Amino acid sequence: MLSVEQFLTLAAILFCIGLYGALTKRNIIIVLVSIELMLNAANINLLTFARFGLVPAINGQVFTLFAMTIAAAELAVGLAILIALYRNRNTSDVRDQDLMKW
Amino acid sequence: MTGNLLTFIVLLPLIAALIIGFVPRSNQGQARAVALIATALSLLLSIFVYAGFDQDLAGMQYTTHYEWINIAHVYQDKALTIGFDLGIDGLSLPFLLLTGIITFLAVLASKNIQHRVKEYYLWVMLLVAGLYGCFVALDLFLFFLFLELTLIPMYFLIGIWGGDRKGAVATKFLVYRGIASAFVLVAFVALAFKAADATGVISMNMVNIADAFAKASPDLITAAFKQGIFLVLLLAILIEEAFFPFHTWLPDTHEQAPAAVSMLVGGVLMKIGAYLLFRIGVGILPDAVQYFATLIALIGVINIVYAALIAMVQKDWRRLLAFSAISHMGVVLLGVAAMNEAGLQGGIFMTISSGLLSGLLFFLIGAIQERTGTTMIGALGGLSKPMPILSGFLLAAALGSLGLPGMSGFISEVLAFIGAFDAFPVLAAVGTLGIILAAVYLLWAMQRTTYGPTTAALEGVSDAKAIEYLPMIVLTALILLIGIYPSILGDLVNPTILSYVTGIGG
Amino acid sequence: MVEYAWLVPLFPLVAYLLLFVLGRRAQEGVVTAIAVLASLAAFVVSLMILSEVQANGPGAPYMFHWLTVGSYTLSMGYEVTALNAMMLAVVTFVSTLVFLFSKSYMKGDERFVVFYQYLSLFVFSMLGLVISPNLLQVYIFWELVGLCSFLLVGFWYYKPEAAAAAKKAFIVTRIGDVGLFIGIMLLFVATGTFDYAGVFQAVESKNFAIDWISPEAFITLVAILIFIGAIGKSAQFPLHTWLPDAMEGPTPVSALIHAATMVAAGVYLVARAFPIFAASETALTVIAVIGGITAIFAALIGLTQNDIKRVVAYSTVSQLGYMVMALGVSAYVASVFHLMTHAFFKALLFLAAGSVIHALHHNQDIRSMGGLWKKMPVTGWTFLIGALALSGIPPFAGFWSKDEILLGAYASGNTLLFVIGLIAAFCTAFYIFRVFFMTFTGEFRGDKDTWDHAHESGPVMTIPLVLLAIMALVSGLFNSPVTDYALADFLQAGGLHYGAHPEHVSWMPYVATLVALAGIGLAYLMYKTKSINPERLANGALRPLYNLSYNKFYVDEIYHYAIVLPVVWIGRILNFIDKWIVDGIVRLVGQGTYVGALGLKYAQNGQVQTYGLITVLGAVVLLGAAMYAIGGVR
Repeated sequence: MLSVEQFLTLAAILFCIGLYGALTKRNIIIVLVSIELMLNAANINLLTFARFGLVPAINGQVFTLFAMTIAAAELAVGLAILIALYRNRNTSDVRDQDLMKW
Repeated sequence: MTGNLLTFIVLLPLIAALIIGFVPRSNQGQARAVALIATALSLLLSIFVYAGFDQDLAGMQYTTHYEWINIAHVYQDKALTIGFDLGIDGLSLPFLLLTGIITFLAVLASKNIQHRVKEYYLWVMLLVAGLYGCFVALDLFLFFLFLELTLIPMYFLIGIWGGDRKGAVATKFLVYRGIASAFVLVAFVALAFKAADATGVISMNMVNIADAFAKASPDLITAAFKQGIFLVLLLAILIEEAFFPFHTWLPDTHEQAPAAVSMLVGGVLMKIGAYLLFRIGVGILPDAVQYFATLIALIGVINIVYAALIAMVQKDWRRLLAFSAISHMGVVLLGVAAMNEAGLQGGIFMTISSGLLSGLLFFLIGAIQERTGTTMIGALGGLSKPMPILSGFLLAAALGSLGLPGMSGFISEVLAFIGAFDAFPVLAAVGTLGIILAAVYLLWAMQRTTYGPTTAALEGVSDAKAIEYLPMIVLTALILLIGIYPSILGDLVNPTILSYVTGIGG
Repeated sequence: MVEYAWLVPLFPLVAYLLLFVLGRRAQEGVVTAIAVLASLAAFVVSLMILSEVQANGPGAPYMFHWLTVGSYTLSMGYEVTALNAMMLAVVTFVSTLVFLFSKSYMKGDERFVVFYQYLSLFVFSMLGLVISPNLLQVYIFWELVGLCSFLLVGFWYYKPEAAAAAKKAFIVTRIGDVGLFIGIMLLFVATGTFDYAGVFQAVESKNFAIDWISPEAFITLVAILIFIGAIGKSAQFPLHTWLPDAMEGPTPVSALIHAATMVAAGVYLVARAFPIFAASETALTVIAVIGGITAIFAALIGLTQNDIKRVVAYSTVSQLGYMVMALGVSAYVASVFHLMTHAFFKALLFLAAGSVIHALHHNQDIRSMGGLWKKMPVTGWTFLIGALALSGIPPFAGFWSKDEILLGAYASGNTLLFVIGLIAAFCTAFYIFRVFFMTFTGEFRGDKDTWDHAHESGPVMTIPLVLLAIMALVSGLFNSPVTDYALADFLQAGGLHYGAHPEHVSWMPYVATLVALAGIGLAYLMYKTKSINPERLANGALRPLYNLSYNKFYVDEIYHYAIVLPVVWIGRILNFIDKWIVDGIVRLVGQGTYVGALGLKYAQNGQVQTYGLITVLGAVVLLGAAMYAIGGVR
């Protein structure tokens, strides 16, 4: 039987990897992948507490299903924007996407 | 039906705004017609309210109550209740009528707006709804909502249809009054939460709050607390009412806003501050008002003299009138500070009178500007010859403004000064300087505007048109009516004032 | 009839409203008829009231409710006392004649109707002032007559001088009015009433609801404040400067408002509220001194003026000074008596001057007149009667009333005031006869064309002159040994026993007459026979004095530099402060925010990963702080 700590540790590690990727990677696709990692870390936390929390309930699992659906939709939108950006500016480097300044 | 009269008064302009939204942009006449009908109907309903109002009662009448927001366990296990509560008493009825008259006439006077007409009337209607709402709302939350509703439309009215510095002035207006709103909100929340200590329910209803404050023991609601809230409120009022040193938005606003908008600002919008002072200051926190009486009187006198001296050297009629209004509202502070029957009654009289006079004066100056293209005193001269009617009304309005007996300004000054001489003889005596200075700046401006040889450029300018007679005659008649038979206003206000003064205990 | 006293002001009010409705298209004849008939009706009712008061004594005030202020009630109403009854008759009499006179004087004026509207409104206000039973109502009508004066002085609005004079008249009197305003406010606060009766009662019992001042000092304060109102309205020194300028208005206006009625309102008010003044020795002294100064001061200025109306105007100021001085020495009856006779002979002088001005096409400079007796005998005769009355030559009206005032001053024991009165009387006789000789005798000094067109005015103008001349001749007898001092008895019927008739001093009439004759004689020598050359005097040793008098003691200039300019400069400085310091701070805050934002905007570099990093760091800091606050994780 795995303990709560183990689940939470896994989630924390996943989250940190995702965060690191989202903040440092140059390629937008990698950034998007990292964001998915963070979302999944959160999902693991939700599931963990749904199972091991003070008041075990189905809520957490439902939320996770929602989160996965929305993540998929979001990724679709994100990729669409990415393609539009690439066509327009011929780059997929995050650092070049700085139109929203000053 | 009678129960919902006030709701209709407030809703009519909102509905009109909605309808104007659907009117085709090309048809400018329709938007204007809708606005006119809505304000006329609201005015009629207000007069209907006046006709059915029992003048002997001190409490709220025509009360409407709808449950609106109820949240349990908001803070320390107390429930928060916010209701759609409307009602009117002898204090707010004059303000309601003033709003009805000025808004209708201002819409009538908006004829010369030729640019983005539909939008203009849309914003005016929203503003009118806010103005009406402020004076009939019994719930502090609702009041605040309406207060904010006046803010945004006015920003656009100045910012789109204003003069050459419209952008900056509109922002100034918004920032100033936005800050005032913040203070108002702080004071309201503090009032409601403190009252909840006594009643157990966080109610935003001002009648309940007034009740709680009147009955609560001094240990529960300390004098220091009341004084603190009042200071916050006073700050808000000083900004709203454009008192020195927070007045600089008013002359700019009047200078830049179109004439009809100036009528709304000077006639009604500015009076919300005074209404707050009477309703919340005197009505809920009388001890605090009394505690700071000398300070208030001092601010009043400073404003009377300071604004009058500045008005004297203004070159633009609109700025002159703005400073003149500040000077007049100083008399209101002086009267309120006295905290006796005559002073309070004089304060209300002065507020109403100043609203009517500002409305009339800004209308006339707008009419003159439309014909001559200027409001600069130096560029005008000898207007009596080409436009005797407008000049005659301008003279009448100026005389009313400088407190000529037989017009509303005089009785207001008399009452306010009776009160003030009772409480602060020396400050009141200094304040009478304002009476002299008012004659100086108004007659000096009149001398340069309507008297003397007619400037060549102004020969053959047309006089008043038929449509312009209505605002001039209605406002002048009301000013004369209050001046000659002040009981028409005094009897309305008196029971409320008496209940306030008995509340003070002397 | 006393209970119908409200009819008296009602007639002119109705006339005003009628004329207002008729508007500018009305014919001049109709307009005059309405105004004159209304005024005449008011005069008839006044006479009936006068006779009734004479028979039955004054009536009680009639009051009705006007406004409730908390627990107080303000009322309005009307009241007829002996003083009021006399004033009503005088005002309506003079105004009827002036209305008639104006028909011809204002003929052809574009705003003929407006002129009569304003005049009717004035008469209404003046009558309302007279029958007011309380001080608030007095103040209301007090301001209204001031308004009418403003409107009528500025009647020829296109003349810049008229516009300036109208404004000056209103503002200078308003300075006085504010004194009156403060006075009645304080009285109300102290006594809870505006009514004369209530106020007098409180003054007598010295029972005031005011604790910051002793009752005696309070009475003095209030009395002086009320008197300040009278100073403004009755053009007393130092607020006299508006009256001579007010001569820019049409001459009938000067005759009615600025000679006979409105300017006398100040004297009337002090007389009406005399019990307040009688209770304060200090206040009486102040009044006497101000009156004395005004009498001599204006008379000295009058000596050298060349505008026919201005001479008569300064004479008015000086005569009002006499009346005020009389009140100051408690010669109540003498003052009121002089008020009445003065109303007749001064209105006469103004109308006669108006007749001359009318004949000479609005030329008012006596240096370009002369020899007009031949052309206008009626005007000449009536002017002479007026001048004799003003100089105080028996048996003309002025002699009797001026004699009473001099007696009062002498009886008060204040020799200085008495001497001032005598000197002023000398000056008065001199300047009015200077005008008479320069206008009606000698050779005409204007251009020939004017002389050819000059002619006696028609009956519409001469009838009022003759009627007023008759009054100037006989009205003095009302309070003389001939009628056994009937006026004094009449005025004291209401219980006012102030200065009945001072003990008679046998040499007084002779001295007064001699002084007046000396003044006339000097004027005769200088301007008729030319045995003394006035120009040599003016340019010789008396040059500085002449300049001082000719320039009205530079009072206007002193006010301009000592009061008007400083106030305007204070206004300018405050305006500067308001614009650049008060609003400057506001704009500084705005600019500061803007500049700060200009610098901070570079933090917004568009790099989404930088934003993310900062967000994470912020979250860590917040989390750390929260941990620290709750004492860490267990």
